[in-house]
Amino acid sequence: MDEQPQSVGNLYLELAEPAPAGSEGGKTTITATKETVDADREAVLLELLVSS
Amino acid sequence: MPVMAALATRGVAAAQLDVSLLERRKYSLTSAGLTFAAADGDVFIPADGSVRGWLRRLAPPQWRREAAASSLEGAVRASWVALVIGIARSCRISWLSDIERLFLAENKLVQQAAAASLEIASPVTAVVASREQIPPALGERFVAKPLGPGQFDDPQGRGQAVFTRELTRDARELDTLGGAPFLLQQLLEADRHLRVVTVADRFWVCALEGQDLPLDWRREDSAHDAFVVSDDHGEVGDRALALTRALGVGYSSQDWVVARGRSYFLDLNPGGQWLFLPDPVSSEVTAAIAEWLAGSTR
Repeated sequence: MDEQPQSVGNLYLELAEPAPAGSEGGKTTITATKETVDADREAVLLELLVSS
Repeated sequence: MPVMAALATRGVAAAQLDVSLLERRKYSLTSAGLTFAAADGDVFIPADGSVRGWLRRLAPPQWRREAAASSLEGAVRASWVALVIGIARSCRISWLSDIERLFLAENKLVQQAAAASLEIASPVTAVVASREQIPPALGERFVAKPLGPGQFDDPQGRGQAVFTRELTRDARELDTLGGAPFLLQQLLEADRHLRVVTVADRFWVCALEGQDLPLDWRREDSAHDAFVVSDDHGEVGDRALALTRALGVGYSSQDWVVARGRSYFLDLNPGGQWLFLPDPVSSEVTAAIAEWLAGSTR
């Protein structure tokens, strides 16, 4: 395949829109709205729930 | 947190822990286990294999988000993360979903591969660098969704969301395909959306009629309250469980669609929501997680 010139844009910039109100990141809420906009996949912090 | 409440009613000692808590409290990690100061006294997690745990969530986005990877702050952030990952692996905790599997299972391409290996139907999917590489099988209209996070902050710090979006093959936006990998998927006209939640070897299916809903039902506020418990898709539940076994996750929240009478797997979130689903599903999922955590590791 040919090399491709580095794109000056990306689909994030093209498709993004303001996050819905109430979509606070990282909090458990009773709606699924935040599921689209939270950062579950930015794996930097663990919340451990442990029992014994 | 409902699971904590469910554990309390069972008389099970439980604790929640995250990096932001650790950095504000005294803690000690030794070969014997982890001790940390909680609001109501010290908590000791013995490293004797007697403890069960659930990795619920991986990234409150506000935590040290300004830290650049190569900076001092980045090093500090990375050290905290390393500590918690080390706790997850060194305290011999039995996890509902192992941390390594959790990381992998969040990748939509890994999910698609697992579905394919199980002969589970899913939309035709491609990730390409340029418009001319888009496979003919995707047709003239298809959907684009992020392969990476579905949100980011703009330079002013305002949250931005990237929903699943329908595009046509000649859409101007596709000029930027090479700038960030995105999933391009076959457009399925959903007759019904399914949310399947799995805990260990159990599943629950809830359905949402697809008529008059946007491509991404999350855009429609009323849709969040419109799911109904469904007993009509047991075969989807069985396949959803097969996926979790293939991916090695003990909890999952999955999106499926029914289109033209056939069920398709869309994606899986190993820490996804269930509380918006109607009862008794919501409460049964909560109870199932609590029961698993309260179970014996031996």
